[in-house]
Amino acid sequence: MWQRRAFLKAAGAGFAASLLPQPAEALARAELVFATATQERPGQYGARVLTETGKLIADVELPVRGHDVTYSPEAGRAVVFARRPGTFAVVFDPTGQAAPQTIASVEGRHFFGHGVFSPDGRLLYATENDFEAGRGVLGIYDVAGGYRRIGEFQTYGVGPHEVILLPDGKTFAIANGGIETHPDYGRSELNLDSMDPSLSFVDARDGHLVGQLRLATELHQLSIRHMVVDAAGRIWFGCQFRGHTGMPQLVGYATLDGDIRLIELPPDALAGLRNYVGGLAISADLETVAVSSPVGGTILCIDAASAAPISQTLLASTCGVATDSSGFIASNGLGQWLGLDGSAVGAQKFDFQFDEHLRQLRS
Amino acid sequence: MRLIAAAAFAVLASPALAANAIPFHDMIAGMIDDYARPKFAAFATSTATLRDTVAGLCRAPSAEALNKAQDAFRTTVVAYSEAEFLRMGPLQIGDREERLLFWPDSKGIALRQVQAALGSKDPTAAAPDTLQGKSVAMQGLAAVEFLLFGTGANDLASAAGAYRCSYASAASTLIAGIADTINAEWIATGAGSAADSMLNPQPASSDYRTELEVINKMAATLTFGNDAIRDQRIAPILSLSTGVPKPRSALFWRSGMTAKALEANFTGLLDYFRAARFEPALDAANRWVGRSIVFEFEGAIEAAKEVPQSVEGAIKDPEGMLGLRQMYVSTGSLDTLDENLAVALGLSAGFSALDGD
Repeated sequence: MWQRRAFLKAAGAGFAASLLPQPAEALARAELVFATATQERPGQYGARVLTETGKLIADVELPVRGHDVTYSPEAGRAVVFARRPGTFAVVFDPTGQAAPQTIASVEGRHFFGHGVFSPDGRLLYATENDFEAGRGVLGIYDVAGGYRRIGEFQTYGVGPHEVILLPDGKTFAIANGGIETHPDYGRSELNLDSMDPSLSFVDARDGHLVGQLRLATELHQLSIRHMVVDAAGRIWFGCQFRGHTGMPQLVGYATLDGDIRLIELPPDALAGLRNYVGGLAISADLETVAVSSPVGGTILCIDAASAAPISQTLLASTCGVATDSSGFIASNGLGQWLGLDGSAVGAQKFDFQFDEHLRQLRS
Repeated sequence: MRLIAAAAFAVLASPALAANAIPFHDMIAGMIDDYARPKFAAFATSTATLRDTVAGLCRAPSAEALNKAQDAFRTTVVAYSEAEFLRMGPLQIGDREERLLFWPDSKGIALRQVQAALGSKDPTAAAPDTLQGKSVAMQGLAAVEFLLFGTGANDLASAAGAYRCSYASAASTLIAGIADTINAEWIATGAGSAADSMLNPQPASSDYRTELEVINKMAATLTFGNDAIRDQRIAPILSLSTGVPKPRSALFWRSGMTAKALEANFTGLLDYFRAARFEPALDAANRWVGRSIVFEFEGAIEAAKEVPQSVEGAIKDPEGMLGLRQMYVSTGSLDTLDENLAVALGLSAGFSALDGD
């Protein structure tokens, strides 16, 4: 059970002591809290926790660019993962009270930028690369044991990117992007001709493969990378096309029953995504899916029930998109954010740049 | 579907945009006229010479003819290395880039396929029309390098190398054909041409909707080039994951062109930076960014010159390793400076288009 207000109350109480009166007041009023990796200045990176009015609650410094942030109210901690091929993740207190803690990747593995806590907040799972074997794994970390790595599950594919825990609380959905990388080649993609992306469902209790879905063979260069779950329990996903010619559909959904399909976006909506979906978010009522494209500078809102696009918002360099109490907030690499699709959040420009993902902090 | 422009940000536009000393249009024109066109023209010329000298070698094999073909290959490598990182325009159409150079090739696919063709004297690899339909790894510069410099290449100096030569000739013909096409497409100026799409962006265009999009992509080319040099060219040699250098993971080690190609990579990016007038586009407060970028490029070029021709030799030579490491470090410094450049120009290059995450 998500206890947003309890968290905010605690955050506000604990943090007020170290704040000037004005921000403390802002924090007390805050409804929602968001987290993002940032570029503070050229060459300087971090992660920030912000209220929906843009007030800073907590921040951490990072030695290189971060990617996604995951949060557990039960653990009382957020984790920002280094961008692939990252060798660290930083655990931090989103109320800004406790000192951050760094998790180093173990030998033979590196992080892929995403992860998720178990529902009880006792375990952290991170997508990782077993780069000599060229296979994806989910690293398992014991929260109470100081984030010691206690094991790993297979992702049953190459190049896992995002992992989410489905609402049943016991099944992971893992987007195996299908792209092989090796730290000796940095971020270079080594197998674009033989990519085999898939969506794996993995049992969180023992790591066995519950099911695995692939798109049609001719779409093997469509890298499945990010996901959200809608009101009907369908797993929506966004893809990036690594082929050279054509403009395939990029957004689809899958079910635990084994259905997987790409929805038919009309040509103008699809063209605006420029063969690249960078992030997804689901509305608070679980009925609208937002997909962002930094290449196209576009956020597309899609009605989940009918799979029809509702609106297309233009915002240069946008990638971060997060659930607001109503609608979404989109952020970009120019330090801007903007509420859309019914969000009351106003356009604001910050003195740092938002990195790719923006998250509302909730379970 | 409603189309919503984030008009709120019209009033929040970066002041840096207004302060640019050089109009975006002039930067785009400079990139096209002073970089893309001359570099791809030089590449087309060098590949035509490669095609013709290899054909000449096949007609009259001799040690001298082989030397000429090898020299033409070296010239082609330099020309390509100065042009290859441009992420815009004709080179990016279809799979031209992979056809010209299949790299990174961490599993040695090109070597395996070329050796298989040599072993079986596969006739379909020895004619351009049929080679074109085969694996792209078999037809680019890496394949031609093995044919002209790899094990058994000395056969090319006599009739014993007839099959090998016809394969090299077919591959060189394909390379020259692609280079010629790219050159012609850059020269073109009419409606729908590459230059036109960049100089006259249109809101409904599938390429570029605004000049700002073009400039963003231009700045992203600098970042991509640095990252490619580091991740695809230097890092595989240093093999930091094992700590044991791997000279045979180097591009163009057989022709002894690894360091020359790196030098040309940095030279090409510096030429690109100057042609696009990034430095004069900066206001006085940010001019240091441009000067620092030039300084780093010049340092990397000097470091490349210190690296011996043989990569095997380079990794045993402290000076050679120093040169490789210095270039590696330079790419990191250039990444940060490119972020400074993007911020100074009101761009977001580092966070968007070429990221792949």
